[in-house]
Amino acid sequence: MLLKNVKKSYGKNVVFEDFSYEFDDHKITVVLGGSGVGKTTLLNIIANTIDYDGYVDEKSVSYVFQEDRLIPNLTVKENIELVNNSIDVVEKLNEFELGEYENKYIQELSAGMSRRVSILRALVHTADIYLMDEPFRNLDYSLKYKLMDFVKDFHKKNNAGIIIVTHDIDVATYLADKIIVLGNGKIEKEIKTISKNTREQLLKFFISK
Amino acid sequence: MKLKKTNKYLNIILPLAIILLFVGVWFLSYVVVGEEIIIPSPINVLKEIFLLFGRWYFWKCLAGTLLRALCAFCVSFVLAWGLVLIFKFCPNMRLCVRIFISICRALPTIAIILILLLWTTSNVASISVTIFVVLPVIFSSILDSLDKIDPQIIDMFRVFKISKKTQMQKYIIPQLIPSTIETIGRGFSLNLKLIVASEVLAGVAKSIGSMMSQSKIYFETAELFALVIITIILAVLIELVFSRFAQGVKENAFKKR
Repeated sequence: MLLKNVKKSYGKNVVFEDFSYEFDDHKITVVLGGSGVGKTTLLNIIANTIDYDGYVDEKSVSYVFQEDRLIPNLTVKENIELVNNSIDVVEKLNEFELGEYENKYIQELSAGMSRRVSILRALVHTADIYLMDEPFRNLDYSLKYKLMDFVKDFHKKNNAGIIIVTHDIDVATYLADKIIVLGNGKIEKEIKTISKNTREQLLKFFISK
Repeated sequence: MKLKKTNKYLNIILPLAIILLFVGVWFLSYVVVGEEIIIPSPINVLKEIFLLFGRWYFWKCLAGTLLRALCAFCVSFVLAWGLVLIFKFCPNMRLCVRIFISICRALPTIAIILILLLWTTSNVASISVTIFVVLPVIFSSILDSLDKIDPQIIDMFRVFKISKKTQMQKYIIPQLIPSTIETIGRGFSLNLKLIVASEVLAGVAKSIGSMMSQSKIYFETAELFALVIITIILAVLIELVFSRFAQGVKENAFKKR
């Protein structure tokens, strides 16, 4: 997934001046960075949901948006079936501990449940690249790790490229094959091999900033 | 639960109290004035309502008025949707649509009826004026309901490559139906009131408006009051039925299966 000389600004606020990077098509890349550095904008550029200048590879994408973007007048099951109606939705819902909520409407779910539905919807959709914007927010600790394991398994089985945007260093070190830290529209740090020291390395980097 | 029950009773008692207060003030005015020709008694007006119900001519006039109101409403509704689509999808035409709607809002009703009467029949004049007055109201109402469509959800559809047909079936139409039903109710109710007014001004034959004019000319004040009350009740009923229907559609859409 190649991005070349990408330029994006919101009015006078320049987010990317001349951004280039090639994401690995078969790895989990985690994008870290403070608020407002353009992490979500980067995903939106890849998903082609916003205007930009420059070159971006055209690939089919699936997306866990920052907001859940579920359809309020459809049930959990119908929301999932909307993107893929050839799978056993009930089985998938059970894997996400949502089996008993298949006929519930979105406003009847907690924030954490809606998040799970949103993740599941993205994973059942067939795509080249899976984009995830803060996918594990609003989830309790044990569920967060369960879902991260699910994403890991999904990646192993499908060998798909996944780009995750997060503030959470735990998510980054647990899931990533590669970590990039975004700042001022550039890549400030790139970690290509994840080891036991990565967490400490990242903490030191953020504290020193 | 208790609060819900109290609210339900209040919803019945409050309108009833307002009606009783209105009738009370009316009756008091009747007693003070003491002239049936200026303010008729509520009882006589009630009798007049039942007398009207027994007259074939009244039903003929009512049907004519309702038909004209329906005709004016359908034209305004279709025109309003057309203008909304132009407004939403042709940014270059937005200013033209805005100017047209502003002109419609500013049109002096009586002057337009008089001009139209020079060119066309009273029937067409009354319908045309009603269209011009109701069009901006329906236009704004449709624009408001379209604002309820979340652009982020539309983006989501694009990412997941969901067909336009599915988008319409699963999201856009279900979101628009309740507000459209409400718009129809409110618009038609307003239409009815306007069509009666324009019938009076244009002198449309076999209409509630012409019956009102006749009653005024012959000082049949009780009949005039009866016709006004029937028009009000009809307009309120139409609005109420459509608003309940819209509420029902909304609730039904989220009923547990």
